Amino acid sequence: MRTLLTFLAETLEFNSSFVKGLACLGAGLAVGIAGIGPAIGQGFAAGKAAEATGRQPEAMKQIRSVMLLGQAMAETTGIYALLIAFLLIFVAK
Amino acid sequence: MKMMMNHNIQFLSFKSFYLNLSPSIKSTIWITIVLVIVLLIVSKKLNKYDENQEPKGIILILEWLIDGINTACKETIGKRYRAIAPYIVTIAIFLFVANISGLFGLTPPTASVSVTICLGLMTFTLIQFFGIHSQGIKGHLKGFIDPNPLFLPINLIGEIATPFSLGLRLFGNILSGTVIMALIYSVLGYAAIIVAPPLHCYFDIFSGFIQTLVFCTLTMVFIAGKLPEDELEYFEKEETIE
Repeated sequence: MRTLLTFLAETLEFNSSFVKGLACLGAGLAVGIAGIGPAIGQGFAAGKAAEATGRQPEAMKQIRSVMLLGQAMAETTGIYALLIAFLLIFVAK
Repeated sequence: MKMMMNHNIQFLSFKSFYLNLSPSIKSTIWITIVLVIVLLIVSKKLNKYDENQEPKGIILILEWLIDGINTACKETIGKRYRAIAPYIVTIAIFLFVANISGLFGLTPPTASVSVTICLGLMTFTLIQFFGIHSQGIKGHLKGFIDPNPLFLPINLIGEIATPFSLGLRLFGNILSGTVIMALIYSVLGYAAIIVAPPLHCYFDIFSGFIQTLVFCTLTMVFIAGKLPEDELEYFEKEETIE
């Protein structure tokens, strides 16, 4: 372990490509972790919509539009994470 | 002679000003020009159109659009829907055309953060206006210390975050679609001819439509939040009395 650390400390160069690599890693982590929440939320909304359609098939049209609207709202946090990822990739140097 | 030279310099600077704009701002200008011309022609058509005739073509589409938005406004805003419906229609037409403009080879204007934040600020101004209009300046400012004065910073942040959340949501959605399409075109080359159309359907038409709907709905909901509660219900009877 110690030899690995000393090896890393000797070989790592803290130059711009190192920073770029970490920024890209951060971008991937941001989208990956933040994608969990909206995915769960959208799935939950879709499941509830399916339940509601089963109970009241004649209201399917309204249920669909409400579901799509709710899912678009739930998507927002994921979109914010995506914006952070874009910032990290294209703006951070 | 001197005047002419001045004129020439101004013309050149205007041209270089246009050329220095970002592509999304350029497409904003073109879309606005095209929309203004088309709507002028349609309004001329509407003047000639008599009510007993069966609506067809673009008049049918417009009737459907305005009827839908009026109904949605009546449901959320209530009595004062007439004050807000024109703004919603304007925003809806511009946003939908802007969002699907990727189909025509333009960069969507809404893929630029300045355009979307600007739209968000317009909605923010309207929200504040209706807040002051319905409750007076004192009542409006009292709303910021609603449960007790400790909530002032939270309420202020919530109020200021509105235009940014509206704008960034739209921006992120359209930008992600644009970036993914650009990646697909660059990776697949000529094979993109087969793969791209369904993705354009999703990212441009479907996503653009949903985002237009979300922006308009949120605008209506935020404005309705500033109006007194007894005005929020709309009864169909009132129209017959008028």
